[in-house]
Amino acid sequence: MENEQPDKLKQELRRGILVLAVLLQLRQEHYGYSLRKALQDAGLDIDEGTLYPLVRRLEKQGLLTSEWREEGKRKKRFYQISTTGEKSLQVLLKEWQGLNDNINTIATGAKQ
Amino acid sequence: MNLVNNYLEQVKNYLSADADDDVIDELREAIEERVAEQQEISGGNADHQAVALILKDFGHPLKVASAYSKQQYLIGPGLFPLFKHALKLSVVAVFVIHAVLTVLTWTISENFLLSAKGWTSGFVEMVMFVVILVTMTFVSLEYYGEKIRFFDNWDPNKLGMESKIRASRQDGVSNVITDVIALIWWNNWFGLPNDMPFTVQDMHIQASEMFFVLYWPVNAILVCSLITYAWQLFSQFWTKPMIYTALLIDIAAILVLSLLLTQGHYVDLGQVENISINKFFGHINTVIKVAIFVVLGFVLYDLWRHIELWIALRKMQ
Repeated sequence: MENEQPDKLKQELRRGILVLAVLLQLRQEHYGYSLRKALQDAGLDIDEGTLYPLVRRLEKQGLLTSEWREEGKRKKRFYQISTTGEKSLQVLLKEWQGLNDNINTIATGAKQ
Repeated sequence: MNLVNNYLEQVKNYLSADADDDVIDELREAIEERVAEQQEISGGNADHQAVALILKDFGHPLKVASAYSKQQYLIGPGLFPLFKHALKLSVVAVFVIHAVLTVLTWTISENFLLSAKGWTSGFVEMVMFVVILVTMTFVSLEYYGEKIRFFDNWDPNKLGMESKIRASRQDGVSNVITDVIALIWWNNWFGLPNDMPFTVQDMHIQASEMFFVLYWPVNAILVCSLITYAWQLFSQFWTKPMIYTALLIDIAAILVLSLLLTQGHYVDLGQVENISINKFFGHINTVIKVAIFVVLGFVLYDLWRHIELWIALRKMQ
């Protein structure tokens, strides 16, 4: 029970940065599984139940493009960031850097 | 792969109509990649148990399918506070209306206990209906992504300023009692001889046509007035909407009473040659006209009071 609260808070924090992480990763073309693997290797573990609906939603919002291609006898859906997505990503990155600085300032101030 | 096909079939069944057609193909691709990964790790074919674990990791088919739905909340956090408030107000309104109607029914009921038994079920039915109506309205607003400006368009200066005039409890009680009596008489609930026709010495006596024409408008005015003053008793303050409602009721009542005053007579006798009877009913018509004037006077007094209240509220704002 004690561990549940921090875990829930951690989940909420991670949920907030997923879109940024996915858009950043999709500057290179990926299909679903390889995208998940790439994020996992970068230290961000995200389950399929969250990732796949998320990329669909981002595509519907015009931030990603996708196409079905056959690779190794299997049909795969490849995603990549769109021009609109790249513009949104720049905005998000700036916001992320700003937030990062703010948190560091607050953390430093709190320590003193 | 029966397990995987079965799983994907279940997901497909749960998918909403607005989900894309190729969602299942994409999920199949994802599962097959995981199975291939498992085979690489184990150095052989993934067994039934391993595939089951992979599917368990993906999540229950309902949960997976619902993530693709456009609407993730029945009523989302943006609308929920307003929904909760609307629900509370609606239930209170239902209680007030139901209580008033029940008291009226009890007063004319021959079997008090039998009508009391029906009270709870009647109230619950009405509440359920209102709850369903309010919930469906907000679910629709959530689905169509409508933004309610309630939480955007507010002014801190005007908070709590709307209801600073305390309502007179005496005023509320007297109005409720008057409206109830008027409703009972107007609808002949006590069998009071207001509608006629009745026959005296072969004369067919009937109320004027205008009373029948105004039957429902008068009922509407009395019910609106009853609800307004019953709510006023409950809330104890005059608010702007309540004053506007009261003013509208006053104006409607004045119009109806004025219409009645234009009538030449209120009681139809038909063809009567007896001069004394004609004179007698002429007096009755005069009495009824005077009574209408008196009621009009009270309504005009109410109108004047409500206008004063409106001016006072405006000055406060």
